Amino acid sequence: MHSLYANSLNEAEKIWKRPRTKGFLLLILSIPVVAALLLALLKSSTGTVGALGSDLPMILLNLFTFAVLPLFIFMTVSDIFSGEEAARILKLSLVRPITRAKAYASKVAALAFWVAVQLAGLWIVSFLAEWLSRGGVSGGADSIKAYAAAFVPMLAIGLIAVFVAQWFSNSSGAMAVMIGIYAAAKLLSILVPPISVWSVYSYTNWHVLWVGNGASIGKLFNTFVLLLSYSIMAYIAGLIRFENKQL
Amino acid sequence: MQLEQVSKRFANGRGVRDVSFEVRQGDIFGLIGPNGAGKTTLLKIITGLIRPDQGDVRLFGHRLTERFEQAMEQVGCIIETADFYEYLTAWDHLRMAARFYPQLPKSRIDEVLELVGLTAYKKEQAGIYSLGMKQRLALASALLSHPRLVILDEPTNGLDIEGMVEIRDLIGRLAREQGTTFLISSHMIHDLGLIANRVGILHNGLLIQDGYVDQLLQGKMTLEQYVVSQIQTAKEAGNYA
Repeated sequence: MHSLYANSLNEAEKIWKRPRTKGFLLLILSIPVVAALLLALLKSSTGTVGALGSDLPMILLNLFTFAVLPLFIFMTVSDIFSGEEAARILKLSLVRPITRAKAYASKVAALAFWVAVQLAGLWIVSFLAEWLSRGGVSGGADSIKAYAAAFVPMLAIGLIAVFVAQWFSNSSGAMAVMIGIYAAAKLLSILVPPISVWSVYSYTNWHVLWVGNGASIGKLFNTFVLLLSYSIMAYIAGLIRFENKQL
Repeated sequence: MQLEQVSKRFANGRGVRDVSFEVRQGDIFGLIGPNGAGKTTLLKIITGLIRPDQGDVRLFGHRLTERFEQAMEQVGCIIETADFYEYLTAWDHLRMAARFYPQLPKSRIDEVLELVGLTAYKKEQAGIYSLGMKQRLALASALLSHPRLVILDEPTNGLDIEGMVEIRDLIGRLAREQGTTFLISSHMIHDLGLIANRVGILHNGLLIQDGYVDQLLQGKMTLEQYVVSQIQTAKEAGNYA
């Protein structure tokens, strides 16, 4: 298990040191601050905060789980799989004493870690931003639940992206297809609503069901099992491709 | 290290066929052959980057397909080209590699950097390294864990004359003083002839000769002349994988 731990640390560090990751973290930190400044300005000029300021962490979570986080996931996955293969650096860890299955698992673990960090960072900054702009916060427990719940569909999307990346040996091609699939799935859910029930991409806003009395335990459980099933299938299918890669 | 009837055929028809040989403790085994002979393919099979269609590889008694981690624990290698993460420094690369070997002291990173002459550049990103510097970093990375077996694919690529001599001396010294075993592929026969005590000659995916240099040459010819004559014989016999 030491090799799994060692490579997970390595993968997490490599993701952190990529300039893109830092850019995304900066974006995550800056958007709530900008939003807070706007709210403060609105408050001082009109005396009201308005609907926008009523639940900043949730508004930002909706925005980020719809576009920003999926984009971060697609970029990261295409870099750590297809991009490394193209640059011939994937072999650097594969010739160390670590099995392919563990190398794959550690890449996925590092991705999951950074998705969790982004969500946690967004929650902290948006929570602080709301507190500073309104002088207080409401629904803190609900927003924690929502942020924790948002991790599940993000990870499912990430695992499908990992599977897609196994078919490409260049990062730009992989990323274009991932974005294409995501956009097509979102559009299809609108055009053919019955399909949305079965599409992972329809659950990016799953977290809203966890707020207040959003949904029954049974519905939450069913959705969780659906996302888990897709995740397991994508993980295993991706692993089979990864294990058979000829570098 | 043992290879038993290893074969691999690619879609373009090239590859290696029925290659068997072993490398013993303390050997400096030179894998010689012209470009496209199958040297890199063979090294990739030995390090698990490519799966053979048939045959078996054992490292320190462990089958690569069954006990990969144990097999690779005492192996260091450079395969194909010396490529690195452009945004990471030499120090970052070596620290990450060192994580796989918990017993390795941190001071070992500085030791190998010193050994390959990269100490002054250790905090610079690999993206700005010259080919020679990348090759030195690759060698540092291969030697980091005090491996008992070092596999080097064209290790002097990109190095200047001084660098080539340094690497050759280093290989000789490690083999003599620490009993490190080397498997080195190169198409530079003269270069390899200066350090290898055993050679295997690959031609068109077939191992056409394998043995100790002094026994093969018997003082009658140079390694270059011997290899050329063996390849010529193989061509005339029409040996193809």
